[in-house]
Amino acid sequence: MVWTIVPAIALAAIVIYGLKTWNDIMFNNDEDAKVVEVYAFQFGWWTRYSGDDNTLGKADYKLITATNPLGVITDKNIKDSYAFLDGEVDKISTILEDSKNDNGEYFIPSSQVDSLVEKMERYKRQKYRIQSGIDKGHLNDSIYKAANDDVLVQELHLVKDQPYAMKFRSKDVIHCPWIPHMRMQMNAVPGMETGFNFTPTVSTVEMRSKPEVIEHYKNINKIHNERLNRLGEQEEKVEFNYILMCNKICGAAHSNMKMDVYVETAEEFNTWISEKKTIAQKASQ
Amino acid sequence: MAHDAHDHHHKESFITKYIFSQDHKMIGKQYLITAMIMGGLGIALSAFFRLKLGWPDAKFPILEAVLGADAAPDGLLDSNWYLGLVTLHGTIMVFFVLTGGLSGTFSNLLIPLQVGARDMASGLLNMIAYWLFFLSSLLMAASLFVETGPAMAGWTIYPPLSVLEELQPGSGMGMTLWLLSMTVFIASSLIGGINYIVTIINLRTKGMTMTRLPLTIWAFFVTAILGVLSFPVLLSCAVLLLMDRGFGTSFYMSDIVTSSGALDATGGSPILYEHLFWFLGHPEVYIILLPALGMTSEIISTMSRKPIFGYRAMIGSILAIGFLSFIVWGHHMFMTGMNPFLGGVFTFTTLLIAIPSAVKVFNFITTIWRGNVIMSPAMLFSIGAVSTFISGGITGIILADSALDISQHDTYFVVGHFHIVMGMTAILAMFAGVYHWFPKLYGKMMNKRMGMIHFWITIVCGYGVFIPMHFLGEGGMPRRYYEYTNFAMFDHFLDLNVLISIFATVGVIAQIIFFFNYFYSVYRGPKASQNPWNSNSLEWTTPVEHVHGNWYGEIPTVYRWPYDYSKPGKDQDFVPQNIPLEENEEEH
Ligand code: HEM
Ligand SMILES: [Cu+2]
Ligand SMILES: [Cu+2]
Repeated sequence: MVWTIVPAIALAAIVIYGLKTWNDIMFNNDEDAKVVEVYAFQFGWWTRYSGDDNTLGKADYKLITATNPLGVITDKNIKDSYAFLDGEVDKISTILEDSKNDNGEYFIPSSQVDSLVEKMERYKRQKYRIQSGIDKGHLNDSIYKAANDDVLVQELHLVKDQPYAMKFRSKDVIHCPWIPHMRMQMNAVPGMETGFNFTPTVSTVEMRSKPEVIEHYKNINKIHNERLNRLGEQEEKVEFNYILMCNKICGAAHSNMKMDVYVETAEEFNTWISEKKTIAQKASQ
Repeated sequence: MAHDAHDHHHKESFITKYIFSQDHKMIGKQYLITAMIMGGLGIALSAFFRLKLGWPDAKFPILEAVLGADAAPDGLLDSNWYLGLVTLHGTIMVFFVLTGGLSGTFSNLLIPLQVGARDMASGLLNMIAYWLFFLSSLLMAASLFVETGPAMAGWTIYPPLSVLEELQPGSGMGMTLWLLSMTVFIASSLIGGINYIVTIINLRTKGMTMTRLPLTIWAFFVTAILGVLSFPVLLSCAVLLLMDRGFGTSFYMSDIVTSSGALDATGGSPILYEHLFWFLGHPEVYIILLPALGMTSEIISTMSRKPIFGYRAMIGSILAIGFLSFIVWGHHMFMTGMNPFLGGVFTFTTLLIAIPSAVKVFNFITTIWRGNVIMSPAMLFSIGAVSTFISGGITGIILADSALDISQHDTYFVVGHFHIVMGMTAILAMFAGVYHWFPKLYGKMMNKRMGMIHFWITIVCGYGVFIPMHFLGEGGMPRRYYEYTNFAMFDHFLDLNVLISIFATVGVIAQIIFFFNYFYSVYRGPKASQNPWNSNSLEWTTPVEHVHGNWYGEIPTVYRWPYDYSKPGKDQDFVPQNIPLEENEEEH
C-alpha cells in the first residue's frame, strides 16, 4: 500500500508543480516584460531589441536581403527589395539575351535556360507578392513604424532581474536557441513565431565571482589549454560566459552556432545599447 | 479440419526451401539473419561516430578506408557525414533491427508454434513481407554509397532540412533512398502485421482460448495492431514529404529563404510533419518494447519455474499500454512551438503510461522472487532487460514532465534515456529470445559459457556508455553535435567522452562473440532435445527437426494455460499445455 500511495503522491506533485511552472514560462502576460527577438539562420543568430515602444516591427521573409537580414518591413526596406529584385531580373535577362546566337536561338543547354527563366519568374512573383501584400504605399512608415526604433545586433545582452518575453523565428530550417546555463530552449520554426518568458537573476559578473565557478573554470582552463598545446596552438584564457547555442539538428555547422549572452546591470545595458543604431537611424544614413 | 500438410510430401528445391520459402520458421530465420547483418552495420556506424566524439582531434585512417575519402578525408570524419552516420544508425536500429528484425523473427517463429497452427494464415503474404523487408534493407544500406551521402537530418528527418539539398547535401539522393526504403518497409510491416493478427484470431488450436495464450502471443498481437494502425500515418507523412520535395507542394514549408532566395512555399508547417511523424513515432517505441517484454515474460516464468505473476494484469497492461501509446506522442514536441496548452495534456497522458509499465515490472520481479531460478544466458538477458526497463523508465518520468523537459530536451540526457529504456531493453530481450529459442530455430544448443560472457560484457558496456550520457545532458550538451570543442564550457567532459567511446568500442567488438557462438552452434552445437527448458508452451511439442505443418499428425489440443510451473500435487515442475486437466484439478 505504501508502495502505491507514496509514488502516487510524488507523481501528483510533479504534475501539479510542473504544470504551474510550465504555465508561468509559456503564458505569462507580464506587461513589464521586455520583448526581444532571437532570429536563427544557417548558421548563426541575430538579436533584435524592440526599442522604447517595446514592440517589434513586423517582418516578412520576402523582404530579406543582405542589408535587411530579418526582413523587417519599412518603407526603405521595401524600396530596397524592389531594387534588389529588379536588379536580379535584369541580370538574368541580360544573361539570357547574351546566350542567344544570331538567329535568336539559345546556345546554352536548355536545362540552364529553364532554370534561369524559373529563377527570374520567381523574383518577379516575389515582387508582385510584396506589392499586393505588405506594400501599403505611402502608409508604410506610419503603419509599420514600430520597426523604427528596433536595434539589430549579434549578441544578447540582458538586464538582471528584468522579465523578458523572448520571441523566436527562423530563416531556413528548424533551429533551437538553447542557453544551457539557464536551462532554456525553444525551437525557432520557419513560418511561425515561438516564444517564452523568463527573468535572468544572476549577472555574468556575479557568476564569475562565485567560488565554485572560479574553481570550475580553473579546471576548464587547464583542460582547454592542454588541448591547445597538443594541437600546437596559442594558449588562451577562458572566462565564464553565458552562451546561446543551437539544440536542433540544422545542418553541417549545427555544432557551431554560438552567440554570447551577457547579463548585466541596467546602466551597463543602456550604455551598450545607446551606441547601437536603430533601424531608422541606419536608414537615414 | 486442418489439413495435414506433411502428408503430401512434395520435393523442395533449394530455392523454395531456403530463399522463396513460405514456411514461417524459415522466414523467421531469414528475418533474424537480415536483422543481424543490419544490426552489425548499425552498431558499427555508431562506433565510427563515437570515435569522433571521443577523440575530436585524432585522425582515424580506418574511417577513410571504410567510408571513403568523401566521408572522412585524411581520416577525419566530415561534419555532414557525421550526421549521416547518426541518422542511419538511428534508422537502422529502430526500424530494421528492433521492428523488422525483432517482430519479424519472433512473431514468425512463435505465433504459429505457440497458438497451434500449421503455418501463418497466408504463407505467400508472409514471404512477400520478408522480401519487401529485405529490399528496404538493401535500399537503406545502398544510401551509404551515394556520393553526397545518406540522409543526414536525424532519424526523425524533420522538414525543411530534409526537403532541400541546398540546406543539407544528404537531402538529395540520400534522402530519396531513405524515403523509398521506408515506404517499402512500411508495406512490409503492414502485410506482416495483418498476417499475424489474422493468424492469432483465426488459427488457434482447439482449447487455445485467448486467456490461455502465452504472453508472447498477446504482446505480438497488440504490437501488430499498433503497427497496422500507426504505420499508415507514417506513410502519409512520408508521401507528403515526397510531394514537398518533388512536386512543389508546401505541406510542411512556409516563409523560407535559402541561398537561392525566398521560396514560393507558404502556409505549410513543420509542426504538421512532427505531429504526423510522432503519431507513429511513439507507438513505434512500444512496437519495439512489447514483443521484447512479452518474450521476457515467457523466459522469466520458465526459468524461475513459477507461474507468471498476475497473468491477467499483464494482459491488461499490454492492452493499456497499447491504447495509451496513441495519445502521448506530444511529449516529443514540448519544445517545438506547438500550442503550450497541449504541454499539460501530454504530460498527464504520458505519466499515465507509467502505471501499466510499473505493473509489468512489479510482476516480473514477483515472478522471479523465490523462484528456482535457472541462470541460463536467456534468463540473464531477460533480467538485464527488466533492469534497463526500470532504470530507463525512471528517467522517462523526468522527461514526461513538460516543465522539466525544457532543461533536458534534445540533450544527451535524452540519448541516454532512450538507449537504456528502448535500445538496451529491446536488444537484451532479443538476445534472450535467440538464446532461448535457438533450439527451436536450429535444433541445436548454443554455447552457454560464451552466452554468459556475451551477457556480462554487453550489459557492463551498455550501462557504461549510456549512464554517463545522462551527466553530459545535465551539463547541457546537445545531441547530434559533430564536435563539442567549439564551446570551452564543455571541455571538462573530454575525459568522460573518451570513457564512453571506449565502452562503446569494446561493446561493439564484443558482439563478435555472439556472432561466433551463433554460427558455430548452427553447425557444431550439440543437438537439442525436444524440450530443453522443460517448458509448457506448444512450440516444444513439435519435433526437433523442422517439418512443414509443424506437427506430425494432429495438432495438439490445449487444456490449460502455459504457466503451470511447480504446480502443487504434480510430480514434475511443469505441465505442458496439451496435458488434460486431472479430475478435480483447478485450472489455475
Ligand atoms: C540497442 C541498440 C541501439 C539503438 C536502438 C540505438 C538507437 C539510436 C537512435 C534512435 C539514435 C538517434 C539518432 C538520431 O538522433 O537521429 C541514436 C543515436 C546515437 N546512438 Fe544509438 N542505438 C543503439 C546502440 C548504440 C550503441 C551500441 C551506441 C554506442 C556506440 C550508440 C550510440 C549512439 C550515439 C552516440 C548517438 C548519437 C546521439 C546524437 O548525436 O544525437 N547507440 N541511437
Ligand atoms: Cu541551428
Ligand atoms: Cu514517446
